[in-house]
Amino acid sequence: MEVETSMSGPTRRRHRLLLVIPYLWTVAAVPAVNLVHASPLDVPLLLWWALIGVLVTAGSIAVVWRLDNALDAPAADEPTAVQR
Amino acid sequence: MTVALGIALFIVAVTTGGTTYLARRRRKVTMSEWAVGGRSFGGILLWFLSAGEIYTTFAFLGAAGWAYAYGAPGFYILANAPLGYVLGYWLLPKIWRAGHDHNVMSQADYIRARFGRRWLAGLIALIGVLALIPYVQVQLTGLSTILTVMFHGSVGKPLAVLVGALLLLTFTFTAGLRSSAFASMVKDVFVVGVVVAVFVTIGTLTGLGGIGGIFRHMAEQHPNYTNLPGMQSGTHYSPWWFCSSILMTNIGYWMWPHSFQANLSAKSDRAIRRNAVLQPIYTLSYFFIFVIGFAALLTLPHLTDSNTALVSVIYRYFPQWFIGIAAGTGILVALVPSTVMLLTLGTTVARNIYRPTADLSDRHRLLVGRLATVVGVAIAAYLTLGSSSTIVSLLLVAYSGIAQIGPAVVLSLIWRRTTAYGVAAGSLVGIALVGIPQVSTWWSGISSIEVGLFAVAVNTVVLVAVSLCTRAPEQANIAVGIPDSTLPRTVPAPA
Repeated sequence: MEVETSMSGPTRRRHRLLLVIPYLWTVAAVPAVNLVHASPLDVPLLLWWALIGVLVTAGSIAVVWRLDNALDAPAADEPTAVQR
Repeated sequence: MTVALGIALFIVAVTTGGTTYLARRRRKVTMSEWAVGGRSFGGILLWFLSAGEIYTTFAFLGAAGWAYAYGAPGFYILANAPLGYVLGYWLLPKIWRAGHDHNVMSQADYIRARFGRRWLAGLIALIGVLALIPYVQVQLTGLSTILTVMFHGSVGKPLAVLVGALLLLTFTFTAGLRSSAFASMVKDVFVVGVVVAVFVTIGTLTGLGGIGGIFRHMAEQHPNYTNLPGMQSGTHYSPWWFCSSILMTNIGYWMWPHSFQANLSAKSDRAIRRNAVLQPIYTLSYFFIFVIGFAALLTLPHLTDSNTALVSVIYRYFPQWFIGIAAGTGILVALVPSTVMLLTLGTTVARNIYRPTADLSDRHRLLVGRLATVVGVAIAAYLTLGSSSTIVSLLLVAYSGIAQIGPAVVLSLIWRRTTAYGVAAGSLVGIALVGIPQVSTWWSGISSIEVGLFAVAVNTVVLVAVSLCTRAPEQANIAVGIPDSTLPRTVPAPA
């Protein structure tokens, strides 16, 4: 019996779907957001949307990275030990 | 004026000279060292290296120029890098793994290993080199813009472009990838310092009354700037254009030969993923750039060239010593990322386009690479002289070209049936669609979607169709992109 150590365990990588969120926020939602004419605190809504989109994107990647790390924890020690 | 010039020259000379010296002192320069930094960059160095490439003249001058000229359409820039890293999180470790396991040093090396065809590697390399030329043009436009504003009309565009080209070549030939990472650190400290200092003080210095004041004045004087299609009527900057530009730049984002190569120089795939978490945050600083662009519009509404918006507003309202620092920073911003681009251009031509099968000495290929770099810069300089495009438009042109490699690289990593003829047919059709002006004109009558994204779609369809009709590569070649999960990379579990 063999155990996968690399990135290819398909069933355990479902959380990677979180990476779709940034595309929905910064691309798919734009035509709708552009219909709204508002400027909270004098800054245009579209600019707010894009700026918050940066944080949403970084947050999504960070969550996926944490979950990936939790899965890779046993394997992740190997390369650091070899490289030094 | 001499104070500003002296400070600018001092910053550029000390940074480029110092970093070159530091890098040389450490190790002798070999072909492999010159190209991929000995495959040993750690997390922090890689972070600065990537930042140096991404926060180019495009960010510093181009974004301010589009805020000045159009308003809302420029906001698409904010999504560029973050979405690039979303794609990169999935894509880059796969490419890094291929490089690591199969001794791949460049994009063309990868294509050759994955499809087993030297001519295909040459073709993809050629597309990369062609797309790099408008990208170098962006940097040259930035350099010449800074020089002409600094000398306030006494230096014409031809001389400014010539000086810019000589600066580019000098720095590229004295530095390698590693020294460019050092220069990138210095540059980033300066660029963040300058942008924050201008952002904080510009409202007061221009008399617009703080950041809030700048936004209130914009709403009064340019009410259309808040939503697409922006301030200028009759442009094609619709929401569909906005979305398609983001997607097109996203597909092309990692296809640049230099980005591909920088990724190969990472220490581990973990370093690459960690980088993808940290890097997008940098993008928030575009907000400062937009505000500076708006302030330029409110105070200097009649500039003939929107590329000069940021430099002009600094020139008009800031003291001499600060103009010097800003100009020096602007020059570094163009020089440092260009080094990486031009090094890649040179090595690509030397290894993959110029007589790839011949057994030539390292010295011979190094010479060919340098000659190709000179020719590339000369072509970009010639194009810069005849062009009045905004920096952002130039970059979109570059992206519509490089994005045509995207379907090939992505499919080569997930679809075993991808064939060399499929890749060749798809990318040639894509390049033809973006390269023939009549196609762009015809397409703009149909839709405001970027022609480059339309070309990517056709490219993908052709690639898949031709691949299905031709013979798949050898098993060993497929394994370069899609490691065979039944054979290696697994360890026996304890019984």
